[in-house]
Amino acid sequence: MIGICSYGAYVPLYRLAREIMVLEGKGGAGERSVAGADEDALTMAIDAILDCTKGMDRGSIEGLLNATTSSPFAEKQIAAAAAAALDFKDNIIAADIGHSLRAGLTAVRLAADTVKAGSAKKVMVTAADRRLGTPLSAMESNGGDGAAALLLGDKDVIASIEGFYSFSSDFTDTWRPATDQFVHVWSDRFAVAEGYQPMMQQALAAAMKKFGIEPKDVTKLVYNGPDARTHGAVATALKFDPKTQVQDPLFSVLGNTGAAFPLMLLVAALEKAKAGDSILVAAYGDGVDVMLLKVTDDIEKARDRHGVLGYLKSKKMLPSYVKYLRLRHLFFVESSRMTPITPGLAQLWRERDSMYKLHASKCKQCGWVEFPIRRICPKCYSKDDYQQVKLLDQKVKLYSFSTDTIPTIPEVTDPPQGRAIIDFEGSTRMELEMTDFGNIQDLKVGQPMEMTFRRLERQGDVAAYAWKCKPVR
Amino acid sequence: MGTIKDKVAIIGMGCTNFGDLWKKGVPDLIIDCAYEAYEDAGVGPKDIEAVFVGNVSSSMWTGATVTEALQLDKIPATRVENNCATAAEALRVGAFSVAAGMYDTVLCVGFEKLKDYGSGALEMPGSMHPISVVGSAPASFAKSAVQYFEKYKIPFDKGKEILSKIAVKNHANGALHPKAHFRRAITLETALNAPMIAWPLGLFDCCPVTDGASCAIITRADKAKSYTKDYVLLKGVGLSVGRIDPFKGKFRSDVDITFWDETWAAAHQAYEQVGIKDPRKEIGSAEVHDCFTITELIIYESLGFCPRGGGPAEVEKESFTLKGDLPVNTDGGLKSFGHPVGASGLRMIYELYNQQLGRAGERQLKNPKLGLAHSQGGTPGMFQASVTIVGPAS
Repeated sequence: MIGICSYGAYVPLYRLAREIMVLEGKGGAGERSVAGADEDALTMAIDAILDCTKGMDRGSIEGLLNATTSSPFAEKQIAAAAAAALDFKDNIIAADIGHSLRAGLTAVRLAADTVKAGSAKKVMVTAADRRLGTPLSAMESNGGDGAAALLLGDKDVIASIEGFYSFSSDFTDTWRPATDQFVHVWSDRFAVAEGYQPMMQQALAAAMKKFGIEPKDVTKLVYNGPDARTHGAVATALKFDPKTQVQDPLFSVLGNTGAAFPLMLLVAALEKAKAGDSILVAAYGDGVDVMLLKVTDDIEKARDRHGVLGYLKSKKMLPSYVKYLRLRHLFFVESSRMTPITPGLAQLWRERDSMYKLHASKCKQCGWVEFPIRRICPKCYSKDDYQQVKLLDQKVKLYSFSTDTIPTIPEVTDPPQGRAIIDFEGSTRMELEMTDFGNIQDLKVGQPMEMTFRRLERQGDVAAYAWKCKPVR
Repeated sequence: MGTIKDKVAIIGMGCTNFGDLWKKGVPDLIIDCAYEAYEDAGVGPKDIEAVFVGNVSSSMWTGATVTEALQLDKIPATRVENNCATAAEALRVGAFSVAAGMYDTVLCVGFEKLKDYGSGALEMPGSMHPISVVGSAPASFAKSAVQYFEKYKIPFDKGKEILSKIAVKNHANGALHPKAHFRRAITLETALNAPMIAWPLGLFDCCPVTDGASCAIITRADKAKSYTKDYVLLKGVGLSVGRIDPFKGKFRSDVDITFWDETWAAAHQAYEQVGIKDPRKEIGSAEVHDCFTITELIIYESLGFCPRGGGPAEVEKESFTLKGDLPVNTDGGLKSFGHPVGASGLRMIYELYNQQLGRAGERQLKNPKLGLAHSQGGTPGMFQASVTIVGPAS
């Protein structure tokens, strides 16, 4: 039986109330999620995988497909970076699936087919987007940031995949030119009337016919849409009961998270699902993909995830629109005049076991643990006689902390930057950046922290990421 | 370990004004301090047999920066670097060359020109590592303050007040020195209400970034009288370099960031050479590396001036003010005199030298006894700490 073995999600800490997203008067209702200044599609995918693999051995995963329309790189695979940071084994299938809002569900179909073909037993699928509209546009207001992760396999599934239906259509309603950071949208009257509405309805109808089911057989219908009204009209037209049968699209608390949206809504549905439920999932974007799931008894084993609903409860409201612009790097703070220094990629690569995989060295002679990996043991002076131990899943406590109020480099648009020293339970101590820490005066020495992989704001165009710590959410 | 005690004499010193020296280039700084020292020692350029040059980041890297500025022709010139202990290092290795009998008259120079490049808070961006994660110098030391308050159960407001009192003391002293970067006394309220730089350190908890140069001319102790009647003797030198690199996130779990281990080690090397048993009683004044107020607080304890955790009570008792029993940073310290990284160590010796010779003006101590200079480069976790002790000729 092929299906979903585990799920996870990630919603960034920050929310922006739509009512302040205006120059004058009153903006929209509800709030949208906003990624931090050091978050992007790569880092959010990693956080979702951490949620999805809680308590699991990530070394058994044989494939990783990352779906996004907002990869931080036009060239450079983020699946490879995520696999390295999460210490997946090297001989995995890794690919980025991008450029479409339905890329997440497409990736699920490809992963399921990979498992079915016997190419891999377990394949991780993520969908992550940092949704950027031009300032004060409807796209910016309706959008959201976040990620979902689904582990597909052929054993111990929490929801079996009963069927797929896909069709492709070259219909352009939203798009982002390769040279532009903002998503654009054509007249929504045209886009909804000739694109989203008819395509979504026809695809769902055709899929149900293919699967041999009717609306009454579906426990939950899960699908994306550009806004609440347009979204709701699809279910009504297909004669689903919007009150009981349709997954809440979370527009008022999350926003449209782009390529991550369909899978995040699916995770939200799985969080509430019961054994025996049928879940029909549809993703629109350059066509439509549809998937039918049947929830199994094992769903009860996956209840300790943050998920979408858990992460939505943990939030910090942005105090102003300017603060939002700072998180987006659209508002610049004068930095002190510094000589630019570009990270050395050769050195980063050489030290990847420490820097990306977060491995420490443990002396085979005296047991002393040191991070990063050190060749000479500082306690017993043994040379090159250590084993590598993983720190990532160890419990973390805050040893001390500070901030840099003045940006140390021009890329930092949202000071203060957090600084911390942390203790890994029973092993070693590490000095690193601290993120999403809220009010510095609320932090306490000894409080639990967790690790998160984030972008380093650095001079130049080099891909520099590192593990940071943050208060436990 | 041997001893340097009474083997080397400082016969002349020079120090430029410290500050935002827009009109002075590196050669100007070197010339200004060197010619003050020449005049003081009664020597000229042709008498200098070797030069030891201390600089961190504003030279052409070799000792040639000094031979070029001073037009010293074809003599040995060696550049040394040991972070904030760089100038102390120039004096230390220069003294060894004299003690070895190699040279009679040696010039030790330290200089730094930071302001041309707008350096703000001594930031240390990825220069050490592709993903240098420590941040600025203030943020590094601030973590020691947070942990110090936690360890000794000092409420936040009380901790801020203790730190601010150190800043108030150093500004008061600096106001009395004509060459200091900041020559204005500040109030406790000013320090407490200053903008935050790196939680919990505010503006007045941090030393400035400064241009400046300082130098010493040294000779064998037995030859000093042939130059001048006013000289001081080196009594002890200690240097201790740590072995952890926080810039890569390295931080050993057995490192206590509320105590400066390297400073303790360097001090005890020097104390042993001099035969000091009770530094609190035997040292007359100290110039210490107050890059941040929390640094100075922990230095009191690390130099053995008081027990661990005893610093705040001494601050309250004003033990280290000009009127206290062991005045610290009588010239204003890094906080008020300024901190041109490669020059500060010799600036400290300059103050001790003037105190020993009775030339310290309004700051003059009645009984300077032995003078101690302490420099400390790096960040909590790994320091390059230097302690130099000078004393009277007789």
